[in-house]
Amino acid sequence: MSRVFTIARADARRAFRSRLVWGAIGLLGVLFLPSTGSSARPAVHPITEYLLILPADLRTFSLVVVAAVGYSAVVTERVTGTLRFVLGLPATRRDLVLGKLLSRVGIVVTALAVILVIANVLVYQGYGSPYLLPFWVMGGWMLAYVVVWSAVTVGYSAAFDSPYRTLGALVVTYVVFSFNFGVWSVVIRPLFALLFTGSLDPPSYDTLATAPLWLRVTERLNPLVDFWAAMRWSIEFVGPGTPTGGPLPQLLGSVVFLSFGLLPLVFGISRFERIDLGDAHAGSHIGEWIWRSLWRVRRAVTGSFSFPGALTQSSRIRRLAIADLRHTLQNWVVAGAVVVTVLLTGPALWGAIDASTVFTDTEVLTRIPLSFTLPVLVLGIAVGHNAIVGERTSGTSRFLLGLPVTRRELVVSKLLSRVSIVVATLLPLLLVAEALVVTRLGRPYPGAFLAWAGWTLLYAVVWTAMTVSCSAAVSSRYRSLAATVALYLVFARLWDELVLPAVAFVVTGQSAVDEFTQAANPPAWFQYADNLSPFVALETIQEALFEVTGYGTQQTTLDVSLFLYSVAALLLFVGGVVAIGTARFDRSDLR
Amino acid sequence: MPSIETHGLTKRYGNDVVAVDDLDLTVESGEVFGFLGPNGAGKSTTINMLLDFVRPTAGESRVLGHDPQTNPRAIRERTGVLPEATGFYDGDTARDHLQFATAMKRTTDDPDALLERVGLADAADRPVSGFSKGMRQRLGLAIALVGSPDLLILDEPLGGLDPSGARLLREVVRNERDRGAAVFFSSHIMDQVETVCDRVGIMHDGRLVAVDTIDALHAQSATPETVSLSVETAPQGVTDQLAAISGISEATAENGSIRITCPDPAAKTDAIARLDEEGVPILDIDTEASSLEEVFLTITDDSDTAGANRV
Repeated sequence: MSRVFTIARADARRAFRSRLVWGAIGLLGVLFLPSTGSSARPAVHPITEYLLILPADLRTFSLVVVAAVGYSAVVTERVTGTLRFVLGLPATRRDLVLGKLLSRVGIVVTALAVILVIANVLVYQGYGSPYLLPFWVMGGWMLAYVVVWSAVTVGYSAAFDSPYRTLGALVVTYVVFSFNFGVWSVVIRPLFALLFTGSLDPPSYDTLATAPLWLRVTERLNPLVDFWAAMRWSIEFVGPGTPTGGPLPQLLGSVVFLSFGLLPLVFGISRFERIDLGDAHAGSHIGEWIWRSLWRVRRAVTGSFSFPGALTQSSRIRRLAIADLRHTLQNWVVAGAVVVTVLLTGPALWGAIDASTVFTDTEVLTRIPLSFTLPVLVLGIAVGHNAIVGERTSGTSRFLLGLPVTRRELVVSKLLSRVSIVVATLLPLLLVAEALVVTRLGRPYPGAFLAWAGWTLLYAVVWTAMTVSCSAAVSSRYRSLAATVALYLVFARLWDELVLPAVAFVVTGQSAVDEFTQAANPPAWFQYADNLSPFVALETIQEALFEVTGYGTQQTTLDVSLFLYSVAALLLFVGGVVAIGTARFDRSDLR
Repeated sequence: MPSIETHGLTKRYGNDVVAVDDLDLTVESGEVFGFLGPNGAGKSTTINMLLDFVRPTAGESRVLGHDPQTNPRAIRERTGVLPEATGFYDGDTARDHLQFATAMKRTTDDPDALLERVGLADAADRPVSGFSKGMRQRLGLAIALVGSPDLLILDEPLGGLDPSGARLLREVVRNERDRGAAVFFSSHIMDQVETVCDRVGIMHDGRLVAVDTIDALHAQSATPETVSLSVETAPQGVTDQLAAISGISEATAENGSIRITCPDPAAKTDAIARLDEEGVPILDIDTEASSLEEVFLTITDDSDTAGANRV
């Protein structure tokens, strides 16, 4: 056991040097503390409410830290070969995993404890009392929350042989259990409802204690429900507030919640103890199987395939794209992203496309693209971010460019293949969405289908082109990710806060833009400046498509000149990003 | 008790690849055993099984009397390991690595003394990220020496080492043997190991095709030994007489030297006796024995032929 501590100490020392760890902890403070401080006042939230709002935010933010600190714990030792160094010393594989868990839990708990102490000070300032007991009951549950998720993360890190698979498993686990994504409420809860009531429609409930017994039991299989219910009950038990129900359900729920951490850890250790280290004799990949199946179908349809004798530029690009398609299908990051896309989109579509007393059919139809925006972002990043920089870091760019291929042809082929993968992933989902429209709204609404499906594909193509271009422009995978995220932040999230105020200052002498962003008819200069953002231009194009096909809403109008301007701005933006990426790749030295 | 013992040790990957096939091997304590063979012969897979990095498909192994799968810690406490393609923590210094290794082995070894021993004293406080491949090998060797282990397992320790590094490695190996430790190391560079090994085992296509002392392997080898005899004058017809001796395949005379090729090493004494009978004074004798590499090639060729015949 003492060697576990030796490993933990050495690992904590290294982890504290990691920029990723410090960045994640800093991000937690930056994201969480400002909003917490401003709302910690009785005038904004009574203390009973605030003690539940605080962990509601914190449980999401803290997961980012847990993931950043823990995902690479064991798997990176395998990837870098340091595992052989450690296991060459008197350490067992179990010692290593437990040591890693200990150090990573220590880091996460310390970081969260600091944040909680600051939050408690803010509570004292805002409410005139620190509410020590209820606050630290909540704090204790939050610390248990990150410990349990750390166990899940380190367990996955031991179970899988690449950091990306580890992250993928973590994301899928969170998406399945979290209510933010609807997999539990749209897929799993209806299955239990079918089992116990014969209907796929489960009853809704305000608090779990008032739900039917079968629902109370099955909901307890969701560890995040257990965590929340037990924490809420505990806070209310020590006051302020009144707990609903007795302690027994919370006790059982706590056992399920703790088991949630224990099971992946045990699974991870068990798998890690069985695997062979370092021998690259992996079995066949499902992507390879898919590829070979598709190729067989192609041969059956078109006969024996052969390339023409003389290579033209287009045939070279086509060959490169086909080779890249094959390699991308074998990539676990892409496979995981496709799974996550389906997991995110399916439940969202299931919940969004339904006859409603609140929304008209037109409103339901115009809201369909919303179900695709987040999945397309994830898919585009996963498929595109490593497209070209991956060739550079692995050295295969030297192999490719040693053949009669130019760098520009390589970029074009990558664009073609990666966009094809994204489109091929989305097409079945678009058809599923249309099937839901037909079955639930009673009509196919072909005009609306063309509008929302066409827009979704346009959005996917644009975003993937941007991620591939970022991949061409930089020299490392992390920089590619950073450039992609920066593009998104600047043009989607910070556009209203950073760029538009600067434009407004030039035009009006004042940087405030609220009056323009909230106005029904903002001035033309503002609209044209706003539509320089590709994301705003995409929104304008979406509204125009719905208007043209006869599905405009009361809030939208068709402004042809603005639409054409948005199309031009979007094309110029994407063309510009691709051109910059290609030019930088053209000039770069290959290692 | 042998330091390493395997019986029927086998590792398969899928149905097609047999990395190690039915390996029976014994390495005695206090001996230096060279585990030789070309790339892909199964050397590293064998070592990985001995270190419990890779699990055997069949067979069993014991290292220092322990089963690597059930009692890896007991083995690692008394073993110094230099795995092939091992990684190091790039942000840590050489001293950090040795301090961690001494903490894990519960020894009081001085990291500086170990770094001095492998010629890395000047780089003790430099992050490993800036180390060359040879420096990493030296660091790995220093780590393997922590705790004066009873057994050193070195996987391709010569990889990346310059001539002075290779000489240092040979010195370390001899010193460790003199201390009483067994040394088991793999290599595909035959001529570098010849001078330090007590015995060698030759792996080929996952099978152990020969185990013996280097002298015995030379004797077994079908590669003919060549002997150059310096003489004052070579009488006419003497080469024909020599070539007629059983065990000699060829004899030539040129510039005061008679050169004979002996598929049977014992035949060279018959040749010398014949020259004495003929009254030819012999000024010097130079024997060109086959190199270990030639021995290896001969053995593996035989192995291939035997395999082909089996098919």
